[in-house]
Amino acid sequence: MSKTRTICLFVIFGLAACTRTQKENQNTQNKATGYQIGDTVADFTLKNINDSSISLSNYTDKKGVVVIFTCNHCPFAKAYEDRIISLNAKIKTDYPILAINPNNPELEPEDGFDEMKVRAKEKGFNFPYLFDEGQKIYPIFGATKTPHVFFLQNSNGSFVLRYTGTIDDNYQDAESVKINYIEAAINSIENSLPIEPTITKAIGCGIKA
Amino acid sequence: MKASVLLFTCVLISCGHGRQKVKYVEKEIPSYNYEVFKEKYLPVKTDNIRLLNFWATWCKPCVAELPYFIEFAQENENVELILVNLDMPSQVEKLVKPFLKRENIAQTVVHLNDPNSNFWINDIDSSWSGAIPATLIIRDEIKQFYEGSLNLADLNRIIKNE
Repeated sequence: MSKTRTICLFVIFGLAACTRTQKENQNTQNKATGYQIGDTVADFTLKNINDSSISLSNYTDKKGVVVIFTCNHCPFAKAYEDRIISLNAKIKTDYPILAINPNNPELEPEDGFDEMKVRAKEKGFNFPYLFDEGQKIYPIFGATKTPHVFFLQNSNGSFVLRYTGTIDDNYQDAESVKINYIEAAINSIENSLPIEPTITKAIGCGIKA
Repeated sequence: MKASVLLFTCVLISCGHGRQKVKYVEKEIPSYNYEVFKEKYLPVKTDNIRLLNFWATWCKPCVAELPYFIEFAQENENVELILVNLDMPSQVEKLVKPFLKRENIAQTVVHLNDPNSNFWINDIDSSWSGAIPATLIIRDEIKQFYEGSLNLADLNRIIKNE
């Protein structure tokens, strides 16, 4: 066997090894977890900051529910607090917002249940702020970060995922927002039009579980 | 055969050579929208191994993994580390610069400042949910993307197959 040929073989083996590891990694990463668009969302019950319990099934008289995973500590979540308050004031009659804090306070002390109460009072939250105790609900949804929106439509008493992703198209500046994706989804439903887009992405704080 | 084994070993050994530690010097952090950032930092093909780490000062797991990335880049001459900062634009002077000084971070830091994240997150990698930390490795024409924390052992395993 010539020297060049051997070297070539080595290179090929090396490349093959690289490609295989890469594929394996991608497979584990791309595995779809959580609800997909069109999936029916299972009922859940969580503790609200007023110490009562709230279930998704409490909202079957509404046209839909906007579930937003959010928290106290994350700057991106903070950048959206005022926007969520004003959005809820606009849409709560038919599509109320339910905020859920998915973080483990042992890893992020700012996101404890008592701290949630304080933050909600400071900001004047006009929506329930639920605590995902034991971090059990967020993986079922497939939430990965805060803030992370799941827009659910009431379809004969069961809730169907119609849109997931970010609240609007500018996390830096509320004044520069061109599209509010939640309002756009509601408008589409009200006018019997398909929702577009159904999935968006934004930078957020990874959930601490 | 012997010669190629020798060549292979030489390459492996040269990878292990240490790089001189550099100290933090105060400088401007360039801030770019995605179009410019992509042109400058996301080449289609690289000679070195380009390691892009997406981070922010408020992201605890990001801050925790930075020392591993810095150590890995210092120990591997063929690795070019770029720390892509995602703090809010108003925080670059207030938080990012003092952080780099305090932690004595001399590596290349660039601020990605583009609100149209719905476009650029997918453009960087379609599997990225948008959560940080996240890391993109470009070597030759191959791109590998990782969402979540990586430590030194992970970097050695992924990049050097160790």
